[in-house]
Amino acid sequence: MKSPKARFVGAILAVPALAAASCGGTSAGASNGGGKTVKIGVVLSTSGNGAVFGVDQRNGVNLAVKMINAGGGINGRLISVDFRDSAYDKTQAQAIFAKMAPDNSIVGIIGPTSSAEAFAADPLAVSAKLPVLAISNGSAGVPQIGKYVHRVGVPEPMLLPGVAKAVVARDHITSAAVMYASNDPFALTGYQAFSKTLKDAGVKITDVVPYDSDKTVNFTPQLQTIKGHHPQALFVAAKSNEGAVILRQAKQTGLSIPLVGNLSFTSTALLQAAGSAANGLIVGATWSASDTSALNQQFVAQYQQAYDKPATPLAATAFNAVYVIKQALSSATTDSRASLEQGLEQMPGYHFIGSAVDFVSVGNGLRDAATADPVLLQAKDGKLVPLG
Amino acid sequence: MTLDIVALAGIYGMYACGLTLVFGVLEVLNLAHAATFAFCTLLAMYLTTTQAWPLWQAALITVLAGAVVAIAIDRIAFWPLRRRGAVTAWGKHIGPLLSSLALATILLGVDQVAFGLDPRHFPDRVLPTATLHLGSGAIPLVSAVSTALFVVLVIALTAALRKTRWGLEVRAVAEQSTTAALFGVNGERRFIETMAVSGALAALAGLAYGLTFNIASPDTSSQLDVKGFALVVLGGLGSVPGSLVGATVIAAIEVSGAKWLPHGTEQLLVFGVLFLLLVVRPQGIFGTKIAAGAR
Repeated sequence: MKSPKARFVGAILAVPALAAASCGGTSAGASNGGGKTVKIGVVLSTSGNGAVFGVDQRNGVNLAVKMINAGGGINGRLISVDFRDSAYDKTQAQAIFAKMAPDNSIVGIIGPTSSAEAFAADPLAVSAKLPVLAISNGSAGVPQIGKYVHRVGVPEPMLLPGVAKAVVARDHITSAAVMYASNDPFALTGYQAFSKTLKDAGVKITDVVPYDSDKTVNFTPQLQTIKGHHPQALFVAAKSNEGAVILRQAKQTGLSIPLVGNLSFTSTALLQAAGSAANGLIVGATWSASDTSALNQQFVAQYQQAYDKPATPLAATAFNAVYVIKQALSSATTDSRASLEQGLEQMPGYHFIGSAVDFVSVGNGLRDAATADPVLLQAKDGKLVPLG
Repeated sequence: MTLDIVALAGIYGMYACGLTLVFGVLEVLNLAHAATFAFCTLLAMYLTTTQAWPLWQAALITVLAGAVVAIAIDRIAFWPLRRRGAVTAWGKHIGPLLSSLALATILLGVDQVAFGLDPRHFPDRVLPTATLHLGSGAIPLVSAVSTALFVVLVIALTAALRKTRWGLEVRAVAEQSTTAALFGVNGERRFIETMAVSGALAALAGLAYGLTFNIASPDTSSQLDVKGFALVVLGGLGSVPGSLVGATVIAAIEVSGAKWLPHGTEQLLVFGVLFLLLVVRPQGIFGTKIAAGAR
């Protein structure tokens, strides 16, 4: 057969990689039965790598809207939703926020799904004095984006230390390894929270393994290195679906130590993708299906009925966000951005379903969500159950 | 660690083998090869999850689909240019290169429409869980099988190209299709057969990749498009046995790099080695040096 010419080969290698086609967002408005409505923008990643979070979140929002509207709405005003898919893409999120910001009929936005999207898009909302309820933007610096950004989902730095402490105490952990997606601000924050807590607790960290979330599928070499150092637990701060791959390969590698995951590991899609390899996985959350409050039991039952799958912590936080809007606007006489902002600033915290959440000061008049009472969950047969 | 290298080399090798075969025969670099690979991986996952097919049926259809897609690529992207003897101002390679790049982008769009943007997985029930223990090491059965299959395919393809009438005709067409036609060789048929084999190899690589890592999305093609050229250039473009060497070298760099080198440097090393090789031995490890003025 013919052999190549060297100069041709050089030219070929200069050809740029294929450009991926961009994904478009979709719009879905929830019906509200007419009359005066409170319109909220909902910007979540229901496609792309973030779909593992965004679909659950959208379900949580829709269920809360349905339940609130069925109960008479906000003092008789029904909630309507302008839903947009940001596809886990910060440019897409930015474009959606740019469209929503001048639309004064939208009083607030729930979303976007990722911290990277929030950092890109939230400044547009701040400029338009449009309140944003951040439900899963766990990175450091999100409340500092500006006055109108309200983090209602407890960020990982406020959640993971409690989880790590509980696991260390429960299993008498003295050594651990940490893996994290180094190209994602959310996972990086999770890693920092795990790492600091473990060090503070006197746990010896045998390995720190960064990886690129979008490029790595073969974690076996790193997992074998970890196994060789015999840690007693593995803490992983993943970005999205690669958590399922890590769980499977950890099992194939013969790692039989407890694996403790960040919020990414609470997604139903991830648990399904990991299959039986997820059994034993430990995660922290601000919500558990076992919460016996009437509202939570309603949420759990109706979620199962509506979506034919169990509710998740991600869905619960999104559900809570709609109730936060309801409470913030309940004493307002007008449904405006200013009314919502004022109501949010006056709330000391909330407690609808799951753990009680406080809005604590982080300086400069800004606040962040915190909880003193995280819930520990363990994966079992595709579900998250309270850790026994 | 050796078994990890072997496991990864099996996937890379099957992918590279198809790419290098097409270059050897058609003398074009098929930029749609990675898109064929991703399409086949997603198709197998779709058939086993959404359609609940058994793995063997899904695998069979996937390999056939790989062959069909590759033939379609040839008919749409390469044949019209070949028929007209189209030569651009930059030489005869640029036309097929660009037309296959266009098809790769179209195929990516097809993947997104047909299979969605979300990552897909094989269901638990079809994933082989057995592990083969060799000495102190262990290798997942699926990796052992895919690597063994790759080695068998390299030997079989090399033997077929060198020892059979079909191989002689393929090599004759590759060398000079007009002269081969004077001896009664149906060049177009050999081209189609070569593309079909290449597509089937992309499908097998996709199956091995999917069953090993159990994650794929339309973007999976980007994992191998540029790296694919490093794989075939290292071994020698157009050399089927060279794909075995290229795959092993790059798998070894990646696995040992992930273990011993600082994060992110393994890809730097892969392309650093490729760059050095292009300077020192541009024809690759198994490629043949062309005399000045030849061709």
